[in-house]
Amino acid sequence: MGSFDSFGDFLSMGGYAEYVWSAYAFFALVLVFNVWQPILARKKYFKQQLKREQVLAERAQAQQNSEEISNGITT
Amino acid sequence: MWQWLFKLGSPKWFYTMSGQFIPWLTGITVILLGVGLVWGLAFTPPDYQMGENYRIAYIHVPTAIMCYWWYGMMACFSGAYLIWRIKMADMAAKACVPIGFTITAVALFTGSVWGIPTWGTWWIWDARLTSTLVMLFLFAGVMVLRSAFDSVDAGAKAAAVLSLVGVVNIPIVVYSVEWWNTLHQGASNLSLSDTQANPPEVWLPAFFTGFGIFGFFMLALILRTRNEILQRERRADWVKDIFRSGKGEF
Repeated sequence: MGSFDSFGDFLSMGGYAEYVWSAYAFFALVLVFNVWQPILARKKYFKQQLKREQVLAERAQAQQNSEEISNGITT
Repeated sequence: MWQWLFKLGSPKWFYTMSGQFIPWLTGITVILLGVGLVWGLAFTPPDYQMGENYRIAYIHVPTAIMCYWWYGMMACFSGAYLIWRIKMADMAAKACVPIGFTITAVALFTGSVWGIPTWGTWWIWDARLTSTLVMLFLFAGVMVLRSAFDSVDAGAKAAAVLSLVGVVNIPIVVYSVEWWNTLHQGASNLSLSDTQANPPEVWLPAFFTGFGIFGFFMLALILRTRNEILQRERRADWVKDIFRSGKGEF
């Protein structure tokens, strides 16, 4: 495998495994955070907006119903 | 040119165009990062003094260079907002901050980890290290300052002013290794010849990881800016249409 004799050799990084792999792990963590965070925020925001629309629609419906009832009483 | 700039200032135009651009940018980024990381981690020969530890440089050098470019970009957006009152520029500036913070954090972390076996210490108050730490605090400061205001406008203005003031730090980060003779080494001379100290097989993977990392963070910037547009333009009809279509994915 490239400049290493075996996969185990590659993992041990010539004795620098903890340095090399912790640096790359932190880097990977930052990459994942930078993509997942905005995607999750977007999904959450969409759900919130859909709920808002539903509540507004229900409220409009309720308003209409109560108007019909009060109209029925007055006539 | 001016028409293009004018369009870029339109949230709707940016949202539509960036949506088409995302898959392409994702593809290019994955290829560049994949090639660069595999090449740099597994195929380049070990350094004769640092052994395999130098492989950290394939992520340290690009992120360290990128953190002050990123700061400069954020400052340009801030300037454009303060001068021309372009809303889009402020949204982009706001989206830049958390990303810039994490880029600087990667540069500092990877440098520290590399320094333990190489310098014998993970931290020293060297000019380059200290000025980069100041840059990390500047990103954090801009983020906190914006959220400290109740008014969106006042927060945006304050964040923009602090961003511009912090530009003073950029030349200090860049030239610190030349102005002060402390621990951090200067830039390596890249050589095209195989017989020199830094042949292409050693530094070429860094170009792949470098452009790959840049593409990746530009992608993150686009995602965050799009979220910001949806928040601030939520009363616009075209944004309401997006909500109704229920397209939570990109």
